[in-house]
Amino acid sequence: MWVQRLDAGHPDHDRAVAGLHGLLLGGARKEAHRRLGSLPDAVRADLDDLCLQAANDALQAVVGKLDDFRGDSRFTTWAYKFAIFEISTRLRRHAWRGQRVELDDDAWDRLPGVRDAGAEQRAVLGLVRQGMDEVLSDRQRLVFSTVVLEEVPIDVLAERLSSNRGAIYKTVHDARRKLRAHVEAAGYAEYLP
Amino acid sequence: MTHDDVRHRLLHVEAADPGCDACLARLDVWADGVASGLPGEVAEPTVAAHLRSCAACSEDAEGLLALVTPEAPDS
Repeated sequence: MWVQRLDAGHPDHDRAVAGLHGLLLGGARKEAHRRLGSLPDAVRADLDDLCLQAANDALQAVVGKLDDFRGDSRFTTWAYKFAIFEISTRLRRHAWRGQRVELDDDAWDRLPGVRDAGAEQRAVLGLVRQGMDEVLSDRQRLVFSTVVLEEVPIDVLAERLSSNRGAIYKTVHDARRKLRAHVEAAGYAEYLP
Repeated sequence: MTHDDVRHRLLHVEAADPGCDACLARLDVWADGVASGLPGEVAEPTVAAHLRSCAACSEDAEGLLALVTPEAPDS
């Protein structure tokens, strides 16, 4: 029903678009409220505006991808995922607004458990550190260090690098695979998670 | 965080991980399936695999599931 009503030629088109926008705005607000406890004050102050921006962009995405909807899920669930993606990305990026993403040499030492690691653990961690220098590309090293060691959210780094979540995630994934191969080649496969 | 957690953080990969874009493409199907009582692994195995590795998509999945899961009636 939604899909037909959202067709540009349908007599109920305008009301359907308005209704969908209301649905998406409601979804964005509920999601923002769900995350309220983890949001800095600066983000909370802008919440209404962020939810509206998210609903606007989610509406554009839904209308633009209407032909992709195959009916494998409820239409509202399919539409809500765009609202969730838009608001979550905004909340993460807004929380980091004004903060510099910096890499420092101490990040490695701040990893929990590194200082009191046993012999095998130290060997594996040493191989990872060596692998970062020797087998990762410059881009992989930068992304892996920022996301995995510094714990900068993927969406934030994606914005800073003019990239997107999927591309940054793939870079981390590929880096992990290379590092795993490096650890395995050194004879420590049994310590791989 | 244990030593195993650190190794997991640095080195864990899921063999069937399709990545964020493919996960998002099927996240609605996963959510409706889980909301109806299916285990995530059954509803959409590749989405479930990705959610184990991606903090951002996992957090989004929780939010979507919260939106589409009917609230339990007051007892």
